Amino acid sequence: MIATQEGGAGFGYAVDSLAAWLSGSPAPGGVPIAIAIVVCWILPLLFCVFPLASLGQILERKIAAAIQRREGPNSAGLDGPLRLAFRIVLFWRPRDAQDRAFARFCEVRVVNTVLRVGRRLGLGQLVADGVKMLGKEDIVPAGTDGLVFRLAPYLALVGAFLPFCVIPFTHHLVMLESGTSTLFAIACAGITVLALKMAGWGSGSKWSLLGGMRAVAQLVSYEIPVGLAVAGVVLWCGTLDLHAITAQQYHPGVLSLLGWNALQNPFLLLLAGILFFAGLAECQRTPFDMAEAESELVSGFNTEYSGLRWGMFALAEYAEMVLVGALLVTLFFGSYQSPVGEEWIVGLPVWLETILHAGCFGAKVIAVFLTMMWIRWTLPRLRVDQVMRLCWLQLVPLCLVSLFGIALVMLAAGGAAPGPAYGRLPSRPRVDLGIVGHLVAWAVPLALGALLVRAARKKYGQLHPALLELTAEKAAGGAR
Amino acid sequence: MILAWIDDLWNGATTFVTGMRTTGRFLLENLRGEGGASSITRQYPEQPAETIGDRQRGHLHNDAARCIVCHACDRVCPVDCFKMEGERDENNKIHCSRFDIDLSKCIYCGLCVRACPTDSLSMTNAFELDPRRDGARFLFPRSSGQLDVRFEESDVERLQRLSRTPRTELSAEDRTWLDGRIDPTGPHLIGMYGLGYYAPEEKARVDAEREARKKAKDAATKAEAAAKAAAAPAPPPPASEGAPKT
Repeated sequence: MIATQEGGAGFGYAVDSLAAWLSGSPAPGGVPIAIAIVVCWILPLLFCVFPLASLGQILERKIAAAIQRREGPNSAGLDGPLRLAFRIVLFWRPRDAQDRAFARFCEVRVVNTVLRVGRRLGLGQLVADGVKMLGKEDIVPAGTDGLVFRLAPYLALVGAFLPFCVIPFTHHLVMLESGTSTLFAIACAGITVLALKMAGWGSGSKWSLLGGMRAVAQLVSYEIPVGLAVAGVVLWCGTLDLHAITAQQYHPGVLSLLGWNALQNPFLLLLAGILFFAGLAECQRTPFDMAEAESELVSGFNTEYSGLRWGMFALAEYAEMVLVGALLVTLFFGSYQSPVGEEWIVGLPVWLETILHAGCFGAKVIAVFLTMMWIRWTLPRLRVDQVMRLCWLQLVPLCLVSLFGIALVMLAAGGAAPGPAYGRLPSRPRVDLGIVGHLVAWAVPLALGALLVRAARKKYGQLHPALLELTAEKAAGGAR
Repeated sequence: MILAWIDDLWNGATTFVTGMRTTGRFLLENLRGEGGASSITRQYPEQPAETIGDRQRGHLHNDAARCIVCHACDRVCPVDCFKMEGERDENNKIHCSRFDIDLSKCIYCGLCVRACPTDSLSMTNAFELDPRRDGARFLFPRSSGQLDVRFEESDVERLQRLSRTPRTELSAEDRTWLDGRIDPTGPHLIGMYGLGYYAPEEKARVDAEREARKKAKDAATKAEAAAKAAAAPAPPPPASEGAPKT
């Protein structure tokens, strides 16, 4: 309702009116609107994010189990919480009467099925883990730097959640539309570095300090490929506004997929991959979890945290995963636009359009999320030097090459032409290659790359003779 | 130098893809319910456990007929889990009248078995502690103090009698009485087992029963697997597929 105002800047409007009210000038409805913002944005965000984070955890455990050929959580169902609900609702009845009512309720076929499926999926773990985390003792060890130690988890949360202000979730659901929203998102995500450093320092433990150092080294390094990858998109789209970048990716017709930035030319696709991996490192996921490194550092900066404080770090990590997914999707994969045409969605009533767009956005983010989990359970952790090497010697040069490539493509395209207007967003100039130009922009870099790879394989790609022998033996054994 | 760099990148990319393909295949197999957890992981409480070897160090069993109440086991026990009493018969031979093993303390180290001069103590391969699932019954006091509580003589007799009867043949009244004994929130016992009251023939019977049940279940799963294999026309062996291609 707020976001559907012209300009969609519900949050900005609320902040403005709040500021006006504080400065004494009469602002009609300022405070009510500010309250409305809290109710409409912040509470839903919290209420969505907590269950979603635990849902992510259960999803992760199930996927890990599937990859390792296990079952994963398969016993904890929703029976317990349901029984508890009966206990609470029927609090004045004797206990066996409560249990009888519960048993009768469970005999309903639908309930029975739901409970069975819940048990199979281990959905009870959601509740159990949350309750366990909340119930744990909050320990502040002696020798910690009290304020720093206590402040760090909140700061981590702030760094993880603030960037969501500028992410366009749907066409109308944007908290803050600003000309520099890309910069804002990246800058806010940088707060995490400080939080981790504070956690490491404040814990007064050598493991934590080491973990914090590693985290800072890693995060600061990986912000460069992230920044360069985003710079590529900004270069291509000519704007820093995330919503405008979304609008740039609008492609009329059924194949709206073709408008997505990642499919414009191989350089942008490469940048998408780089942003994905650098983002993985930014949220400290395996294989880049060297700051937490359970086996070497006893969880690094997490070591001294327990209970809810630890939970905040965990939540921040999952929120950051979502953030990386959201940024990747917004910048490269058409944001909330559906891959099969946009006109029929934009024409719908606002609420239906919002639901469909949010569905598209969610599906894309979840796809990124799942890939992250897939990677986590595939690759082992990198060593410190390997992490740094990957960043400085591989991702950064690749970014530079891609930036150069994008600039060349834009040069060849010869300037921008006004593109189609999208929804309530105005028309903007965009690089127009045409079909032939598109194909050439794909074919030429790919061919060049293939040539280079072939040459490289020819010169350096030889296996060691002993390895060759081994593979030959294995092939012979396999044939036999 | 640039070529070396490119080769490095290429290697990284291809090995990454290989790894992702391997785990991705596992993931899909598992989601389809073939070759994944369903075939490798045994869902223990629902499915029967793998056959436990004879050397499994499971629950202790004392053959009361051979026990001479010498306290050798008691002395050697690192956690002090035995309580025993003996009495002399008319030939002045000592007999075990009470032999309690606190299974909540026992660490299954087997030292007592080695110390036993008459070989009356032995370790069985039983390991399940849920008396409701298993025919066997356990003495599993909630605190060591409970072992010192002497039962009423009539209660002990009843326990002895009931523990020799298969649970299915117990009368409803006896069963409720027993279940009262094994109520987790009850005052005394969680279960009964390892009492000197567990007669050898009862142990043999329970073991035979368990063996038969296990065999039946194994046969059932085998038959099911065979039926499945017959239904699916010759699936390719997963082992050769699993090796990453070099």
